[in-house]
Amino acid sequence: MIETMRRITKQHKQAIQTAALLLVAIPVLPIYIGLQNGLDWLAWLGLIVVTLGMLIGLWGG
Amino acid sequence: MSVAPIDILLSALPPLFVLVLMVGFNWGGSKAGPAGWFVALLIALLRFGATLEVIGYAQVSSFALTFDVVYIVWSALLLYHVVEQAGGMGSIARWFTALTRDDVLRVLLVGWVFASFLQGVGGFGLPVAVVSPLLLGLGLTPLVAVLVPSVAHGWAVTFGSLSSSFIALVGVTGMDPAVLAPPSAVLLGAGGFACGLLAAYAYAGWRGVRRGLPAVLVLGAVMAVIQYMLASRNLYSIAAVLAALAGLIVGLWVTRWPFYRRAAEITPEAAPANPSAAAPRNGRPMPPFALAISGYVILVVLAIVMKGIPAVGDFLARFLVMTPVPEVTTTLGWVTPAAPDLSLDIVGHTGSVLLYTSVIIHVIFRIKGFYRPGDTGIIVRDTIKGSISPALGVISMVGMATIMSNVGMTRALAEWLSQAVPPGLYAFVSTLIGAIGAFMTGSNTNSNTVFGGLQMETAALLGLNVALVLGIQTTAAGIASVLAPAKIIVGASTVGLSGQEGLIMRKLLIYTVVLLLFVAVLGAALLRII
Repeated sequence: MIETMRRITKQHKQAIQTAALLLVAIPVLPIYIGLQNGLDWLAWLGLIVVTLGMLIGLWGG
Repeated sequence: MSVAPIDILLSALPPLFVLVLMVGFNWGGSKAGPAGWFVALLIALLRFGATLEVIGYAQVSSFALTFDVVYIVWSALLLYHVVEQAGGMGSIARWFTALTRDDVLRVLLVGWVFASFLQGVGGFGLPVAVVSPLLLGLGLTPLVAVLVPSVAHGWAVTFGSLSSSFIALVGVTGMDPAVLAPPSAVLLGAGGFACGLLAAYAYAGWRGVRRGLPAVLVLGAVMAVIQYMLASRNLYSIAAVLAALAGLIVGLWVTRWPFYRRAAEITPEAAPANPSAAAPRNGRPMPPFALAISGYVILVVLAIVMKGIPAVGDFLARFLVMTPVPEVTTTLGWVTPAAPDLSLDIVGHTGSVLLYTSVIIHVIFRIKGFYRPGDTGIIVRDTIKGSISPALGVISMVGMATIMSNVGMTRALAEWLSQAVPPGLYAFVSTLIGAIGAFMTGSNTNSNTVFGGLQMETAALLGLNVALVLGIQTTAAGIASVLAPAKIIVGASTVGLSGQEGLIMRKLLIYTVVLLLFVAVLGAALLRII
C-alpha cells in the first residue's frame, strides 16, 4: 500500500503539487467573502479546503 | 514586558521545524512549507488564542503577498524559456566569453558581472545554471565552475528578479520602499566588491585577487552606485539588472586597459573557437547577440516607462483590485491592526512587465524564424514545470509567517531577542537570522517574508535604525541564498557533479561565512554611526 502510494507520488508529482497549490489558493475568495459577510460556515469551509491542500502539499511536495 | 519561556520556544518552533526538515531531512520548500504551516496553525490555535477571523485573514493576506512574488517568478521563468528556446542564451554567453583573453578578467566578466545580470533578469538559480557550464567551457574545473557564479551573484539577489525579495520585505514590514531601499543598497553594493574578490579568489587564489582587483574596484563601484541611485529613486525593480548591465558596458572598456591587454595569463585554448553568433545549435541557427539581448533591453525600457513615469504609473493604478483587511484580535487580546488595503496589481505589476516583454520578444523571434513548430508548447510546458513547486513553497511559508505574525508569535520572539542580545551585537544576530532564513527556505524572498517582521520589531524594541537592520536582513539573506540546496543541485547538475552537492556546499559555506562576517561587521559599524 505504502509502496503504491510512493509510486503514484513519484509518477504524478507535478499534478499533485498543482492540485495542492490550487486547493490552497482558490479558497481565499470564499474565506474572504465569508469573513466580510458574517458567513462563518463559508470561511470554515474555505479553511478546511486550504488545510486539505496543505496536506496534499505535505504528501507530494 | 517579559514573555513566558514556553511561548518563546513555541514561537521559534515553526521556522525551526522547517529548518530541520530542509537541512536535516533534505526536504524541499514545497514539502517543508506545508509542514511549517501546520505547526504554526496548531500552535496558534492551541496556545496563542487564534480565531477563525485571525487565521482566515492571515490566509487572505498571505495570498496577496504570494501573488506579488509568484507572479514575478512565473513571468521571469517564461522570459528565460522564450529566449532560451530560440537559442538566445547561448548567443549571449558566446559573446561574453569572447570579450577578453585575460583569464581572470574573463572569469570575472562571465562569473561575476554576467551572473549578476542574469540574477537581475531572472534569478531563482538561473545565474548558476547558465554560467557554470560556460565557465566549464572556459577550462575551469567543475567545482570551481559552480563556486564562482554561486559566490559572485549574492549581492544582486535582493534587487534582482525584478526585486521580488525587496517587494516581499516591503510587504511584510509595511515600510516605505523609499526609506528601506537606500540602506539595503549600501550594504548590497559593498557586498558586491566582496563577492567579486572572492570569486577571483575561488578561481585563481591570491593571483586571481591581484589580477582581478583593479576590475573589481571599478566594476564594483559602477554597479554599487547605479544600484543605489535606482533603488533610492523608486526604480528598485530594475536596480540590479541595470547595475549589472552598466557593469557589462564598463567591462568592455576595462578589457581595453593595458593592464589586461598584456594578458600575462593567456589561455588561448580556453577561448571559444568560434564566437560568431551564427554558430549552429543542433543544426539550428542562433540569433545574433543584438537580437538575443533585445528581450532584456525591452524589459528595461518597459520597466522604466511603467515604473518610473508617474503619469503611466497613475494610469495603471486604476486597474488595482483593492481589498480591505480589518483589525483582528486573538482570544488572548493580541491585536493585529487593520492593514492598508491589500492590492492585486494586475496590469502594472512587475510580473506584467516581464509578461509583456516575453510576448513581444516571442513574436520577434517567431517572425525571424528562430522557433520551430512545437517550440511554444515546450516554452509553456517548461515554464509551468518550473513554476508550481516554488509557488507551493512560497504560499505555505508566507502563510506560516502571516499566522505567526497575526497571533503575536513573531512579537514574542522579537521581545526575547531584544532582551537577550545587546544592541551593539544585534547586527551579528540580524545577519545570522537573515542567513538562516535564506538557507532554510531556499530564498531571499522567503527569508524576508518569514523574518522581516521579527527583525523590524526587534530593531524597534532595541531602539536601532529599523531600515538599516532590515537592510542587514535582506543582504545576509541574499548572500546566504546561494547556499540553498535547490540552487546547489541546479549548479551541480549542469557541470556533471550530481551527487556531490555536499562537496560544493562545504566549499561554498566557507566563502559564504566570510561574506556574512563582512556584512555583519559593516552593519554593526553603520548601526553605530546612524
